[in-house]
Amino acid sequence: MEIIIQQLLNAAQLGAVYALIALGYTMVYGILRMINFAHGDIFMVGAFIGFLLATTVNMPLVLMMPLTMLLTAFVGIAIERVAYRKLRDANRMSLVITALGVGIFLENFVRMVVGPQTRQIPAQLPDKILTFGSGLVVTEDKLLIILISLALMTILWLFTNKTLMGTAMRAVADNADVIPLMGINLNRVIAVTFAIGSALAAAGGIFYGQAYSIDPYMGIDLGWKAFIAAVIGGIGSIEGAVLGSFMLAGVEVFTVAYLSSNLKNGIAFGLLILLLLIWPSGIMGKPMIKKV
Amino acid sequence: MNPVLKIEKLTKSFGGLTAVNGFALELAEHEIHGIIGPNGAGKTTVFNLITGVYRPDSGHILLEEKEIANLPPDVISRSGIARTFQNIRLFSQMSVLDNIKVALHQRSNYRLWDVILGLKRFRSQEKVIAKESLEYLEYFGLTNRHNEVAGSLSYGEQRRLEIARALATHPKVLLLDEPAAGMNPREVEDLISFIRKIHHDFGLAILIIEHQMPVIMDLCTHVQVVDFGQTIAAGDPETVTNDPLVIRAYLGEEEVEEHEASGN
Repeated sequence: MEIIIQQLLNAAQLGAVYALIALGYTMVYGILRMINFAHGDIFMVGAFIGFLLATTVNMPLVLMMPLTMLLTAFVGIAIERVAYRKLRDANRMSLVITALGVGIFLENFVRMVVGPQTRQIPAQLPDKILTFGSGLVVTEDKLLIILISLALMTILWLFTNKTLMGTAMRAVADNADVIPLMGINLNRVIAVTFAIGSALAAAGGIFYGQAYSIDPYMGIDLGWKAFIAAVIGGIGSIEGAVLGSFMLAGVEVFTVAYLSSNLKNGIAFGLLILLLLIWPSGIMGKPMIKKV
Repeated sequence: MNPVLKIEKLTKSFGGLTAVNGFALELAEHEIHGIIGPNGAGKTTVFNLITGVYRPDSGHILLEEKEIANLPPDVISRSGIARTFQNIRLFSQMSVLDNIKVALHQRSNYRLWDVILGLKRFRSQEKVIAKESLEYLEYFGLTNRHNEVAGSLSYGEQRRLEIARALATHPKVLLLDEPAAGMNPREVEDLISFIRKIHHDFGLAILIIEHQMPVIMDLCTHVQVVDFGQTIAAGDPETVTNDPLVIRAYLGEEEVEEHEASGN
C-alpha cells in the first residue's frame, strides 16, 4: 500500500512538471491554433536561467524562481514577436516549421553558452524525509513541488476564468477576428499568453532541474511528452492539459515500477493512439466544427 | 453642426474589382442614416473600411473631424465606432455575460502586474465592469440568460446580444449590417422599435445597411443608394425609393419597363 502511494506521489511530481509545460502548448494552441514546437525548449531555457541564477550569484529559490519565470516570459514574448507574428496569417505549416527552427536555435544557443554537459540545479527546497504511518516515506521537496505546481495551476485557472484579461484570452480562442472590433489589442493578448505559458514552463524547468538533471536537449523529450499530454487531455483546454499530464505521468511511473522501464515510452505513446481513437479531440477537447 | 462621421472619396479595390468607388457620406450627430443597394454593391465593404478591417486605397474617414482611415481596428473601436455583422459573430462558446465583459475590457487599464500582485486597481476595475455588464444585460432583457452559452440563445436574442455587445464598447457611431436579415415581419417590427429605443437612450448616430425596406422607411432620415461601389441616389426615404435609377439598380431593366407600363 505504502509503495503504491509512493508511486502515486512520484507520478504526481512528474505529472506536475508535464502539466506546467503542457499548459503553454494548450494556451498557445487555443489562441493561435498553432502548436508551438519550440515550447519544450523554452522550458529548457527556463531551467538554465534558473541554473545560472542559482550557481553564479547564489540566488535563493524564493527570488530565483520568480525572476526566472519573469525572464523566461520575456523570452517567450520575444520569440512570438520576432518569429511568429509576421507569419500569423500564413500557412500553418510555415508556422510549425518556424517553431521547430526556433527550438533548434534555442538548443544550440544554450549549448554554445553553457556547454553540452548534464547539470543539476543546486537543491534548495527543504529535503527532510518525512515518515507517515507505518513506513510511508516522502521527501519534503517532492511535496513542495507538487503543491507549488498545483497552486500555479489554480492561479492560472482563476486568471483565465475570473479576470477580464483572462476573459479576453478566452474570447480570442473563441473568435479572434472580432477581438479588435471590441477595442482590444490582439497582439497584447497574444503576448500575455506567451508570457504566461513561458513562465509556467520555467517553473517546470526549475522543479525538473531540482529533482532530476538538465541539459540543452532536455526540452525535446519532455516537450513531446507534455505535448502528448495536452493532446490526450484535449488541446486548447486548460483542465484537459492538467488531466492529460497526470494521466501520462501515472502510466509512465507505474509501467516502470511494475512492468519494465523499457516499455515506458511504448506504453505511453500506445495510450495516446488508443485514447485518440476513442476521443479524437482529446478527453476534454471540443469537437472542431469549422464554421462555413 | 459638424457631422460626427464624414467620409470623402473613399475607394477600395480588390485585384481588378473596385468594390468602393469615391464613396462619400455625412452622418450628423444623433442621425439614423440608411445605406441600401443590391447584393455585392459594396455596402459591407464600406463598413469594413470604416472599422479598419480593410485599409482604404484612398479617401478620408473623419470621426469628429479626426482622421481614422488607416488606424488599426482596435484603435478605431476605442475612438467610438462599433458594429454588428450580417451573419452574427458572437463569442458563441462563452457565456452571455462574458460576451459583454469582453466589450467592456477596453475600459480597464490595469496591467498583468496588477493582477499578479492583486493590486487595488485590478480589483476595483473588475468590480466596476462586472456591475456595468449586468446593467447592460438588464437593459437588453438578457439578465436571466447571463450564464448561458451565447451560441445557445435564440436567433433574436443573439441579435440583441450582438447589439448590446457593440454598445458596451461605448460608441458614438453604431454600424448595423442587415440587422433584420432572416426576420419575419413581426420580428422586424420589434427590431424597429428596439433600434429606436437604443437610438434615443444612448444618444447615438446610427448607420444601417438593410434590405428590409420597412426598417429603412421607418427609421432613417436619410438614405443613400449604392451600386457598384458608387452612390447613385441620396435623400429622404420617400424620394429615394421612387427614383427610377434606384428601381433599375434593384429590379433590372425589364422589370422597370413593366413597372412603368403598369402606371407606377
